[in-house]
Amino acid sequence: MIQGVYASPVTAVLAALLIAVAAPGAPAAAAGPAPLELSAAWGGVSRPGRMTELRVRLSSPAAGTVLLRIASAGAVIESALAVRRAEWQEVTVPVPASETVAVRAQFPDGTSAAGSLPLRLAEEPLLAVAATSLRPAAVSGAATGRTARVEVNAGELPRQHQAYQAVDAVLVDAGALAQLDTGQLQGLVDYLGRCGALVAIALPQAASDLLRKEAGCGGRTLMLLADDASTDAAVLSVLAAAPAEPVGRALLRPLLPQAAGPWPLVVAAVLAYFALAAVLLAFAGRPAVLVTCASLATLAVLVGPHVVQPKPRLSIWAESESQDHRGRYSALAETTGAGRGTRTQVLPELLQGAGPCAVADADSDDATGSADSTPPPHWRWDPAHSRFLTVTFEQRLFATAAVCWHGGFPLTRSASTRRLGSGGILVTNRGAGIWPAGVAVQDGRRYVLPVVPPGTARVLSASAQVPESPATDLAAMSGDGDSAVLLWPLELSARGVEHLPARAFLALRAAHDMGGS
Amino acid sequence: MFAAASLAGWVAAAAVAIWWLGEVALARGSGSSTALSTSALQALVMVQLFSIVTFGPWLGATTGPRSARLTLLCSLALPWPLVALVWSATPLPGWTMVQIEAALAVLALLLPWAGAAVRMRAPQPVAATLVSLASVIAVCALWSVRDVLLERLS
Repeated sequence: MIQGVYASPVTAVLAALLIAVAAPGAPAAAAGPAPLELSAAWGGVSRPGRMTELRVRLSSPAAGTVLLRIASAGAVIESALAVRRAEWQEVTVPVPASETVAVRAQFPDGTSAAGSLPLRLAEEPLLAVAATSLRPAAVSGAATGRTARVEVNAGELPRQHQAYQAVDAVLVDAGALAQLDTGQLQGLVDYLGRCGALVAIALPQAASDLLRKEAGCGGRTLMLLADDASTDAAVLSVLAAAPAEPVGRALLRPLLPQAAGPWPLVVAAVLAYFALAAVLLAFAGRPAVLVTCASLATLAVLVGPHVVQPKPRLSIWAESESQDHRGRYSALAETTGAGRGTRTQVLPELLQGAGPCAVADADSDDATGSADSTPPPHWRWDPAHSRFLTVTFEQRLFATAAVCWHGGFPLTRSASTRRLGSGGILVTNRGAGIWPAGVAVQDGRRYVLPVVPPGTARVLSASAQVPESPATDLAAMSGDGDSAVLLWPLELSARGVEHLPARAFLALRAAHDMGGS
Repeated sequence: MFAAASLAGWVAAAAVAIWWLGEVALARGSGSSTALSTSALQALVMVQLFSIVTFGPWLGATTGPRSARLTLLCSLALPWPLVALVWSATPLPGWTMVQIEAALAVLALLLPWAGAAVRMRAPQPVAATLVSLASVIAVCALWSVRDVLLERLS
C-alpha cells in the first residue's frame, strides 16, 4: 500500500514535519490520515504489457467530484468519482502494467493528492494462488518449473476481468471462493469464460457445475480437484491448455475494411494548389496575389481537418469452440488522422473490455504508444458502469490511432466435422439455430459452407474452394488440424457501430466427428 | 526576376511534395510516416532557406531592396500550404514552426539590403553574385556542423 500526500503547501509542510518526527521505517499511515491509498491486484505483480487492476482508496476533504488521473505505460486514464466529505471510498480501474503507476487526485475543494505505486513485472508465467486451506507443499513448483507464484487473499481478487490478463493461471479453493463478493465472482467467471486457466480445489458440487458451465475453450482450461494432491499437475495442464494471448493488433489489422484514408485528398489538394500557383505565376505576375493565395490555402489546410473528421475502421474477430457457452473476441478500431488536432473517440457500448493495445502490437505511429513526443492518449473510465467511455488523443496527418478490445459473449453454436475420403468434409450442425452461409477451413483448404439447418449435415466438396483472405488465413491459424474451423461474417447493427466501416467474423472450432451420428 | 525566383521555389517545393507523398503512399501501414514527414519538413525549410540565401543578395543588388524583398517574401510564401500540410504530419509544435517561418521572413527582409549595400560599395555585378555564393557556402557550413553547434548552445 502506497500512501499519497497532499500537494497544497501547508499540508505538504505538515506532512514533512510528521515524516521527520516519525521513526525510520515506520509505515506511512502512522504519519497521518493520507487521503490517497493505492494498491494493485495480485499483490502488485503482473506480466509486463498486460492489463492489471489498480485500486484507489481516497478520502476527500469536501463533498463533490474527485478527478482521478492515472498514468501508466504511456496511457493516461481519467475518472470522475462522486464523493462525500471525509468518507473513504474505493474505485478500481484497469490499467496497463508498467514499472510505476502514478496517480493524482483533484479534490472538490481545490486541493490535490498524488501517489505512485511500483509494480513488479514478471517475465515468467504467473500462477496466482488464492486459497485458505492449501498445504504449503501442494504447489511445490517442482512440476510447474519456471512458473512464478503469487499468493493473494481472496478479498484481493480483481473485479475487472481485464485484470486477469496480468496472470497466466489462478488457483482457488472452496474457502477462498466463499469469501468472494459478487463483483469478484463475476470477474472470475468472466475470466473463465474467456478461456482463463483456473484450478479449483474441493469446491461444492453447485459451484463446480457453475464453473463448468461458464468455462470457455471446451472446459480444457478448468481443472476441478477433489483435494490438493495433484495440484502441480493440474496447474501444468491448464497452463498448457490455455490458448495464446488474444488476437493482437498485428493480426486484426488485415481484417480492417479497406479505406483510402486522407492520402488521395491530400494529393488532390497539393496538385490543385501547385496548378493554381503556376497559373498565378504565369499570368498574374504580382507578388501580393501569390502571397494572398498561399496564405488562404495555408488557412484551409489548417482548418479543414477540424471540419471533416475521419471515421474509425473496425475489425472484430470472435472465436469459440463447439459446445462452449461463451466465446471471446478481439476488436481493433483504427483512425487515420487527417490533420493536427485533438480527437475524442466514443467507445461503442457494444464492445466491452476496451483498453490500450498491447505494447508489442504498437508501432511508432500509434497514438496508444509513446514512441515520440505525442502526448499519451487519455482514456475516460466510468466507475459506475466499469467501462471506458472515450479515448482522446492528439491526431496527426497520416498517423494511426488504435483502440483494442478483448471480451467475451454468449454463444450457442455447436458443430462437428469429419474428413471424407474424397477430400471433402462432413459438417454437422449440432446446435439449435440455423447457420448462415460461410466458409470452412481445414488443413489449409477453404470450403464453401452453405446454410445449414439445426440437426442436419452437409458435405463440403473439395472442388468448391474459396480464395484466400485475411479472415480465412486467421481461421487456418486458429485450427488444430484434426477438426475444421467454421467461419462466418457477422453483421454489426448495434448502436454505436452501425455507421462505422467494419468487418466482423466468428470462427468456431468444430468438434472432431469420430464417425457417429 | 520575380518569376525566376518564384519558379525556382515552385519547382523545389513541388519536388519535395512528390517525394513526400510518394514515400508516404509506399509506407502506409508501416508506421513510418511521421519520420518521413519530419524529413520532408526539413527539406522544405531548406528549400525556403536556400531560395532566400541564393537570390536575396543578388536580387537586392540588381533590382533594389524593395522589389527584392517582395519577390523573396513571395518565394517564401509559395510553399506555405505544403509546409502546413507536412507539419500536420509531424509532432513538431506549431509555435516552433511559426518561429522558423518568422526567422526565414526576417532573413528575406535583411539579405536584399545586404545585396544593395554591396552594390553601393562595389558596383560590379559579380560582387553581388559572390555575396550570394558566400551566403550559400556559409549556410552549408552551418548545416554541416549544426549538431555540434546545438550541443554547444544547449
